[in-house]
Amino acid sequence: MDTATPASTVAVHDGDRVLASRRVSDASQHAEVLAFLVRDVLEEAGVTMPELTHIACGVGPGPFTGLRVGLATAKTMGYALGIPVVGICTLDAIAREHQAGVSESVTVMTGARRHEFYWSTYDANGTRIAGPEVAREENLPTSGIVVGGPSSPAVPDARWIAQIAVEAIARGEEPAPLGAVDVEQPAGGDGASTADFIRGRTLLAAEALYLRRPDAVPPASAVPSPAVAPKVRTMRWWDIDTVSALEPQLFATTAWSAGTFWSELAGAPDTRHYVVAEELGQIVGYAGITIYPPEAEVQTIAVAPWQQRHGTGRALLQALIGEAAERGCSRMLLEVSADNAAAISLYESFGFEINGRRRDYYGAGQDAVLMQRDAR
Amino acid sequence: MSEPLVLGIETSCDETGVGLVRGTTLLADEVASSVDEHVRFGGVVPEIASRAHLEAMIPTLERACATAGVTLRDVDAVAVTAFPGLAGALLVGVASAKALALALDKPLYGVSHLSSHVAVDRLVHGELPEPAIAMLVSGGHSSILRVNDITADVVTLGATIDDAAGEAFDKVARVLGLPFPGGPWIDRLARDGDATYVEFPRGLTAARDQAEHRFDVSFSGLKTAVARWIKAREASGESVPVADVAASFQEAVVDVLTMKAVAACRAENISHLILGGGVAANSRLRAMAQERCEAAGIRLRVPPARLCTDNGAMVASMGAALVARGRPASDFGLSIRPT
Repeated sequence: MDTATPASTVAVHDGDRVLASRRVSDASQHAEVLAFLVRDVLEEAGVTMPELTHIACGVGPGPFTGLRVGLATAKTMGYALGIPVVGICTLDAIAREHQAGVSESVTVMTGARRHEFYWSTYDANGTRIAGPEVAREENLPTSGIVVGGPSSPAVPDARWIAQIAVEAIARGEEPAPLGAVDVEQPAGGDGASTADFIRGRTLLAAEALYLRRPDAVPPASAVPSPAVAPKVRTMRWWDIDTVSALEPQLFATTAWSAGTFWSELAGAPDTRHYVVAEELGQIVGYAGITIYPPEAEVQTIAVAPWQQRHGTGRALLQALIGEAAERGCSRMLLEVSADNAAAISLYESFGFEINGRRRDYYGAGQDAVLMQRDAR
Repeated sequence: MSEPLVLGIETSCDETGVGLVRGTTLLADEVASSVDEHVRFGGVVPEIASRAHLEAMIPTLERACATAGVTLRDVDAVAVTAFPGLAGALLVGVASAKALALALDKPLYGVSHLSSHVAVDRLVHGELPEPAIAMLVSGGHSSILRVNDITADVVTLGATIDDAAGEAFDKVARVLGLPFPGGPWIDRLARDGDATYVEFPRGLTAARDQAEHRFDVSFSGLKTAVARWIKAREASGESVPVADVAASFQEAVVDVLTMKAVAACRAENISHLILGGGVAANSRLRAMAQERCEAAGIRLRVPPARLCTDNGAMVASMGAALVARGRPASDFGLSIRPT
């Protein structure tokens, strides 16, 4: 079975051939249709539940919304029946289906939402030679034969999930566990990407293939300091790895974890607004506020070390003030370290006034200054 | 022949619960919580909860069967929370329950999280009195229900119009610098505090609210009032008496909840009140409810605190009630209905 794309698909295979299969394409219906499909293919194939010996489940990469339905179903069925459950990369199954007709190198693309796509490249023998990766539309590979893509993302057929699993099991392959890959860890950590981890493997553990965002934080020396104004846009979840890698460089002991950013973004747009500043396509700063009209409170403003004093903080603050005003907040509040004269003077230049002080707020001897800005 | 064995799965928020119930007898109640992962965020993060459910499901099923001394093959029916709750979290439970029902060839029952919080009391005090008024108070819900038949006819008389009671506890705890989840901390601190120290507002209790919001509650204003009071206190340079503020806040919440629940019993001419949900574990709420019910001649039923929070036993109990009354099973197209 596979639910890593808008399709829900189930097949039953007897080791020689596919006995029955189904595929329904409705992204919002995985949870509703999957059990029906399982029941129907078994009925059509004349197979009863206790006769099953293995369950193979597409493990993506794919949006977790659908993926978890297939994984929960496959794992619980396998547990109830007392049989093994294995994972197959969804992109492998799509490539295999295409290559059943022609022997040629191919790149498979499936939808990852928000203008992003999952992709993998296979050589003419069907060996995965690149990916799985996730990329924005403009950064997708364009050469060679492409299956799926921005205009018509590909979907798998569970026949090929089953076929690949049957062959791998016959070869005596053991499922590869994915324990070491964790995209929620800050980038730049252990370094093992999902693609590295599953290279040369077809039979995987029945765990979702999460994809780590590439580590986009450059070494300070390599970064130019252009005099152009940074571009400020809303922070999205795929920025979290980059941002949380910057965090410890800027805030040391008080650095936020990736989890904190996930949590904060979960509150957007209702009560949170987070932005990033980009220069030359790289994140050079970020900031966020909580919004509880009539008050908005600045939660963080961060500028990469190599980018400070280039107007990035100013651009970020301007964006936050704009958002707060638009959302009906007449008052903005913030806290800043009393010894951060540069920041205080930046805030003052935007009309913030000091209205209080918290002793030892950041540790012994490190006071916080409270500042407030009222809309005129 | 013994009564049917019902397995219940609960994944509507941050607890992965699996319960096993035979009739009104609790055989196992296993809960895997991802609350530790949410502590640092001061609230439940849906995405993290959903991933945690997927990982915890099989181990929790295993533990429940081991505790009850049964195998999955002994299970006669599978019940699962289908609504309300976090969409991604509910999906994992529902997909797992369908897979179990399918693999075991047993009926599937999609149940209400709210009704299950009421039905859990079957396991402690026996079959429910019907009709009864039930008040559910938790991090996600604050509802007053008229229970005519727990398996078929539960009418919502009132609910929160903004924050749930448990949510207010969490938010006020945060303002007071207490850890998440805030309920147990406030309960504990409040025991040493003066509940009359600050007279915080009682939302929706004014005469003008009675037409439209007679059995509704509101905690948003209370939460803001507490935050304002603390800010003003800090601004004047005085220290904040945390225990007294906690006690005063808790008193305001509990006063409104018990007042409304008793009023609902009176208005509906019903002499049974059942409390449920995580906030029903609050000692002050239990005490004041007891006091006011006694004064009003109402018989109060409150499950032990352990069964008030989200768990699989309550879902299994709800499933067992459906099976016992011969209600139709759900089909495999069972949809979740998120909050």
